[in-house]
Amino acid sequence: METVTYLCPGCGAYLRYDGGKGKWVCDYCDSEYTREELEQRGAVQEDSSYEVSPGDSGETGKLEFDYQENVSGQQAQEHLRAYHCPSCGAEIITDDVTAATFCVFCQNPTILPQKFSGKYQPSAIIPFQTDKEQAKQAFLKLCKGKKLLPSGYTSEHRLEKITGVYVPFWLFDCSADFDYHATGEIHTSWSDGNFNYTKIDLYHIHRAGVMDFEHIPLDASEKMQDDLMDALEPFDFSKAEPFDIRYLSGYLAEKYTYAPKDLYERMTNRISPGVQRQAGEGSRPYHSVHSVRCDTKFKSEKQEYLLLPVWMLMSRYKDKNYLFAMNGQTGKIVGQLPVDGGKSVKWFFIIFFISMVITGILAFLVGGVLL
Amino acid sequence: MKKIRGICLSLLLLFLFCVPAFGRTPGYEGYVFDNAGLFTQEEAAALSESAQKIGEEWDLDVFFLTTEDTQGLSAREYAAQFYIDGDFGLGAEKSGIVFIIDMGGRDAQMVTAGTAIDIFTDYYIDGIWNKVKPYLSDGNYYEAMSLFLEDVNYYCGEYQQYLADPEGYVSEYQMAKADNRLLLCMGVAFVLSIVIAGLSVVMMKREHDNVRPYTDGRAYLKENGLHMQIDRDSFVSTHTIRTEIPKNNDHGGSSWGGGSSTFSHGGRSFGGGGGRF
Repeated sequence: METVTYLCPGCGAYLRYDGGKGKWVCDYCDSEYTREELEQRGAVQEDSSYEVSPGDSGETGKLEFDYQENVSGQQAQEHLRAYHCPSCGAEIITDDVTAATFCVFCQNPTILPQKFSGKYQPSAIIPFQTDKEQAKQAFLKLCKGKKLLPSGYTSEHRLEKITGVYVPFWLFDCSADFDYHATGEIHTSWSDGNFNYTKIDLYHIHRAGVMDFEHIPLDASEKMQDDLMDALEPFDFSKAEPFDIRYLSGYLAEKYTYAPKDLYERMTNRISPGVQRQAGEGSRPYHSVHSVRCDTKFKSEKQEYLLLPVWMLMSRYKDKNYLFAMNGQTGKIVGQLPVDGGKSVKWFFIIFFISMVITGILAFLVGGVLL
Repeated sequence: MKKIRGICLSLLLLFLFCVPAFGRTPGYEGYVFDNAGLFTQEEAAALSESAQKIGEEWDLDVFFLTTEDTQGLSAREYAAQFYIDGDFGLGAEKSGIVFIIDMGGRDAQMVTAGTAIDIFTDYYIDGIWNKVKPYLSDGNYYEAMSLFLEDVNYYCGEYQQYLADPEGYVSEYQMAKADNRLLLCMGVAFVLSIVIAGLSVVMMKREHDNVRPYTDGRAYLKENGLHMQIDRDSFVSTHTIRTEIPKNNDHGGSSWGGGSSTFSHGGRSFGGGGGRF
């Protein structure tokens, strides 16, 4: 199978797309190229079709491992594929869905263009607008001031592992046909000398209509944690470019594993709270609204497949995974950081002690001396 | 001989029972109406003498009443009735305090009237009762009543000091309350500190995970994307809830000693307290 590396027109080393500069850069001769320049100077595409079968390297042929894993009774199937690095010749093993990766030996960025062909051809891409240095700083910012973070968590070694990933997303356009019923209460209070009175007027609230939503992003990769991806929003889709595979140079990229129909339920779950709230909003000011029922029919006639830029760092601490992610376009940071149990206890007692001194003095003043 | 003594005792009891109807006989063991026969003559005389002295000094009628039978009334009502019938009480407010021991119900009560209601607030009544009760339970009625008189004398004296300078005087009640309040404040400070420390650590932990959904979906609503077809609010019903405004019935909640709970009997108001022994 074919792999592609974009090479520097100047020196022939590999090029990577630098989101911070918005250009393709060569780390060896420090050249920088815009898309136009690349097209003019005709960046060499190196196609490498080294394909091997096990134990017989050098021979042409597709290599496909069928790999079965037995995890406590459950059978998981994953397809692994191997390619040869166009730069150093080492074997690159990736799974079925990876479309852009690196050679683990020479760090050469490698793109597997056929992963994005046919129905897997994205219609658009939002290129990275931030670089790795910004992602590192963002990670340090997230960790800053976190007293409970295990020591050494922000080591340079860990920072180096931050990776730019193009995550496949489906953008749904959708209409919601809603029928909203609720009970609203308006309270009026007054009192005479002996009694307090509260008058409660009940109203039946009925709203019905259609809401049109557009560009609801849902990540289409089963490897990505859904809530993390939801938290990375918003993306500015007006900055999306038509898909150009050269943007993938220097990043990991994946093709979708979920088709739109697999995400339909997730999409309705994501927007139905908004539909209900939007429907109930406005008009009369009620003191309380209850017994809400909102029947909604969703209809989606348009889905768009595109790749969105995300910086990611996965760490393991005490057998648990912690994910950090930064929106590659806007720089928005989300993440989970581990908590050091010993530090938690230490801080509990420090705060308790300080609080006890302050409140103790206050208590003494209020309870003993002042009264 | 026994028979004669029995008759004498009956006559005495009869006489004592009639006393309320006749009013108080001056000079009689005057301040001790020992219908249950709990005191010796000497004891009764000593108590009566002290009671008279204390009463005159503080302008209060102080006396004792013991009985085997309260004629269907509660002990304090019986004492109140006795107080009314005997026209007890000194001064315009008919002030006084009576200690009744009901041997039938083993119930002892202090019943106050007039200014005594203000002097002997619930707090002080409780204090006296706690001191007196063990003696009553042991059957040492004389010691119990002597203690009672001592306390009456003491608190009346303190009350006069309080009246002389209500602002400057620091009562036993205030001190106890301040002690309690200090203890309470310290307890609150302790609990509060645990809560603050716990919450702080929880908050710090929460900051370790900032994965929150960006929107409930409304961010992706198109501009002018809401097309309302039905927008109707229809009136269904109305109802009104009435709740009583709580009233403050506290009697005499001054810096002297807190409030006194009172009861009415025979159209008059009495205070006091006590319990079984």
